Amino acid sequence: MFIHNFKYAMKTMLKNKTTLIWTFLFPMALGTFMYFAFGDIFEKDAVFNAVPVAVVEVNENENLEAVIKELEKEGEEQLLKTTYLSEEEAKKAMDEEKVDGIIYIDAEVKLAVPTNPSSAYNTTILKAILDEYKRQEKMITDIATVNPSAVDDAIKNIQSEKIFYTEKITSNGNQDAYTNYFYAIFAMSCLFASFGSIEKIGKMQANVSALGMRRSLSPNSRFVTIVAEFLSILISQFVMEAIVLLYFTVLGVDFGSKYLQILGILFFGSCIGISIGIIIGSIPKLSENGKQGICIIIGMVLSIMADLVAVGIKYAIECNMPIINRINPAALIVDSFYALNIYDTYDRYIRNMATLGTMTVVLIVISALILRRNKYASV
Amino acid sequence: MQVFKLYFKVLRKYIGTMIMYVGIFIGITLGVIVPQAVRNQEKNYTDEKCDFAVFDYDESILSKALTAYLETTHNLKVIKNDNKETIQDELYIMNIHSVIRINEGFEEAFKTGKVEEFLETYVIPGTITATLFEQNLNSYLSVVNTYIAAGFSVDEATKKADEVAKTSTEIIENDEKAKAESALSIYFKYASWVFIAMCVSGITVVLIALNKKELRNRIECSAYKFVKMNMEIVLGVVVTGVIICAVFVVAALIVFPEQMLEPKAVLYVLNALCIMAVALAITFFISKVTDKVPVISLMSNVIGLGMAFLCGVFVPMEFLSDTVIKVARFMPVYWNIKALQIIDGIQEGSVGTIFSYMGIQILFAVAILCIGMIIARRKRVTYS
Repeated sequence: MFIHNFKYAMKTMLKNKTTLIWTFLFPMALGTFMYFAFGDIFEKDAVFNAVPVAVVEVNENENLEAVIKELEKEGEEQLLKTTYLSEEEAKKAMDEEKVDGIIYIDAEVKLAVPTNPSSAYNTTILKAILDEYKRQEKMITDIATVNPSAVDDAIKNIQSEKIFYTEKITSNGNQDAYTNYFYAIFAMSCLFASFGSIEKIGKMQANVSALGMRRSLSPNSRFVTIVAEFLSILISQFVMEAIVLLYFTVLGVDFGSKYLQILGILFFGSCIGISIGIIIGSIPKLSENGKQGICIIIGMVLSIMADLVAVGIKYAIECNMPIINRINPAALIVDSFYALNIYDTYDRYIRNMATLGTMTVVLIVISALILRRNKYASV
Repeated sequence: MQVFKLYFKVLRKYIGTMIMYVGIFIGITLGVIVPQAVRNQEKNYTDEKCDFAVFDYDESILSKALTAYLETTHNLKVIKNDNKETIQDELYIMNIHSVIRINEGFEEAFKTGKVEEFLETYVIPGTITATLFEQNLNSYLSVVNTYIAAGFSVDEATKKADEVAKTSTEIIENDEKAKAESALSIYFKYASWVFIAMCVSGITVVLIALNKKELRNRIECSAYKFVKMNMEIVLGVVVTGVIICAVFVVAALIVFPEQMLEPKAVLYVLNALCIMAVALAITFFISKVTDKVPVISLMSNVIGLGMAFLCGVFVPMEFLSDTVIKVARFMPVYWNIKALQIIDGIQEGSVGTIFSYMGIQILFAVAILCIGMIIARRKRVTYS
């Protein structure tokens, strides 16, 4: 009997367009657009590459030229990518956004900056480099007037190019904040699993649908029907999520390497989505459209709170009302992805999974209490 | 005008989704566009700043001087604690770009030369902000170090370093000032997305309702002329489009009155009407392709969001890759945004170019309309 029920539950599930669209096609489409739109931002806007700059030689200045030569040396420490041009060519290159500034080599160094810098930080870096040069120059003159015998030591000291700090790394994972949008897409699609379960619940309640009436009359055990129905949603939902994951990975989104654990997130995520649908579905005296509306609102609001539309909302909540992030299923899903990708330890991941699991059980128990022993004397 | 009236009767039933989009748009206008416009007004060259946090466990003259110097060149922010997880989370969402931890014994170590272990920086490695911040940090310490090597005390050396830090490079700026994107232009940029999403999700359902076999047959066998019926439906759709445009223009007048009273505002409105024509054509097309409501909501989201993401509405065009831009050329919203950029003055171009971009949008609308009509005709043939 179970197999029979399960088979038909699966069949209706796969023919249900609404669920298929919102939990499968829409996340894939949204992810594709985000991938193409955000794909280059981190590379173009955040990652440092040697700053392209034009150099115009007005008068000789050996010291400055030596500094520039040092900074344009290819390698890891390269700060500048220089092109030596005439003034006109340099201006043209800057207008065409090929360079982020023009360095004029003269007795007094000058920097021309573009009107609309393609990278304002790059221009600031150029200025910082030249500032450093000017400050050293001033310092040497200063020391020479006060203590001429120390000038040689001072110059040696500058030339040693000492690094005074240690750069510490907090994670070896993917630090691109734009990946967070993909985590949030998964959170959204997991929560939209609720559509499927609302429909399933509706088709079991005699006061909601004709099918529910027929089912209530049949001698079939209600427990068997329920298990078959929800197992079918869980399996199909989980498989769809896994396909979306595969698709995003092929597309080029960097989720790290812990795919088995990610599948764990998708499993618990699907569970919580389904159980939210069950509890909303079990609200008596509410039309199915109304229930779906509630699901959309809950799904969207929770996902937006977990950074679906802008990175930072979740963290603002974390700073002010952390308890919300501990119980918002979308935030838990996003946070688990993040924790897996960033940290080597599993504390946060396990805590999140445990919360999702517990919440699922609690929601299902509550809806069971609402739905059990429903008898329909006259419908 | 019976059919015309009927159209609006049905439309009233589905007005909810359209109002939802207006709500979203009001949210974007007040939450994103208006604050962004204020930020874009700074036009002269200023150094870019990084946001950083300091945990000073040394509290020496040097550590305080370093913090004070960094505070003048960058923005000092406070974070909860210097726990590794907090730092990582703050860095990740770009709330801060760098955290420095000055350990106890820093100043002493600085004098002896083995200082690296006493000064830790936490950054996202390889980012522009990390490079800039660490460059500034090291440059300041290098100056202090040189003064100490020349025989000055720490106190004197930091004071000297602060004085030296006042020297800066002469900046040559173009006479022509930077033109930042105006708020009104951003407003109409977002409007192009909302128009499409709104029309597709709101009007398509009405067209499908009017296209129902029974209803269609009933009207067709009445004394109502076939052409007249179609004309009235078309009129209804066009009137809806014009009303939506009018609402957005009036809203723009309220929010940005100064800019809307400039002569070039006419161009903004014309450009908005062009993208509305495209939106209506897409609506017509979709109503001929499908009659299933879930499919319509998917299409309205995919077409609307897709063009918005790929044509430079949500993400500025300069951040899009060349391939994406090449693909975007085949989408009407791209030409709408291009026209907006010229109207706004952030891209060069003549009025003629603006009109040619508007023309391209209208051609897109006509093309989409034609394909829709061909599909409709085919369907009708199979139907009869």
